[in-house]
Amino acid sequence: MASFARYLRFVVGALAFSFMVALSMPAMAQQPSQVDPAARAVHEQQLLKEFDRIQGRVTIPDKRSDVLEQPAGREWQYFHSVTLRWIGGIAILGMLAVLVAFYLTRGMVRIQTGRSGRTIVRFSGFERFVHWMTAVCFVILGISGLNITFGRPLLLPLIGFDAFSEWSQWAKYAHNYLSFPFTIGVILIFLMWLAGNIPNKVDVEWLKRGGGIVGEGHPPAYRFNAGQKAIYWIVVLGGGAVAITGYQLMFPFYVTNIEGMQLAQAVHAIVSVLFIAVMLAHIYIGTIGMEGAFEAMGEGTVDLNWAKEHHSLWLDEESARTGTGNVRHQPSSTPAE
Amino acid sequence: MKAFLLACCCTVIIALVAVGSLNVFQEPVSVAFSTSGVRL
Repeated sequence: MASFARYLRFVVGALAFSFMVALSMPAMAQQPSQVDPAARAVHEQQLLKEFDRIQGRVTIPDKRSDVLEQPAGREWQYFHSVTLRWIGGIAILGMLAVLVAFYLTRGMVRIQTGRSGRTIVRFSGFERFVHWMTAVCFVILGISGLNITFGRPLLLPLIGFDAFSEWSQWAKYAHNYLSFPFTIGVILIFLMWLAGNIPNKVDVEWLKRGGGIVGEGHPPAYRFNAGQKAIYWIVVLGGGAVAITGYQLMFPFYVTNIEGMQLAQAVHAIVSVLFIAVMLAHIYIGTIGMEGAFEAMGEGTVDLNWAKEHHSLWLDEESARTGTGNVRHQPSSTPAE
Repeated sequence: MKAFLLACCCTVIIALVAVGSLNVFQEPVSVAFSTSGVRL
């Protein structure tokens, strides 16, 4: 009897075990065997590797805000706060160092034959207007843009949080709104001076002779020499690039997603710092680097001897076209310094 | 000098037009990122 009771307990136990196993089978079938559903088993890195982001749910209208983490954002953050500062610092400070060294060794490029006392019209009033509109915008855009990259480590410790916050807010407004006159200026520059900035074989000779900046003598040039043509194309292409990428950032998610905007910001920033470095050289040559150069954009006229030395082929063309009608006599010569 | 001053004036005018245009095209943050249940 006792052995029968043991046998019965064994059978009932076996049936109960089988029943429990059978009940648990559908639940097991629903879960992948290698996934632990507990929260502790969800590794952030695993999720980021399987998807390109960690995403949740939000109730506000902007559904893009449901992205909690996006690994490319970390790379962008590193670029923005480390890499870009190095690129910008090296480009801008490097250019300043080169210009200072060049000025100390070469000095101002003088009009070798002296001033003639007669001037010729170099740029019309409209050309100077467009140049200065673009230039004024560029300077403010450059300063306000550099504030975004370098303001926090360089300016914030000097002026404090309140002043930096106020300044940065106004700088950002200026950066956004002045982009429009800047873009108009770049478009007008492109259209206005395109014909004179197509590269030709005269430019090759000009470059071979260092443009007259390095060494003695001035190679011939038409209205724009190879150096000015380079500046022109940098302004047109660089200005175009910063305008397009800038508007992508100004109108977020209108034309691209977050990855596109990160790329746009990287392009915008790199082109901008290189643009600033190049424009420093342009400003140097146009002011203290060359006697008589500023007058071209300041008053619109240049001394005849300056034109003979720097743009002899252009002067020949102008003389053939207008005779001496475009030449003006100055009462007294004024030094550019 | 006249061209420079004119350029500065024109820059300010275009920028002011841009202020007005952007405010028409873009919603303010308080509208774009809010619902009747959530105000940011």
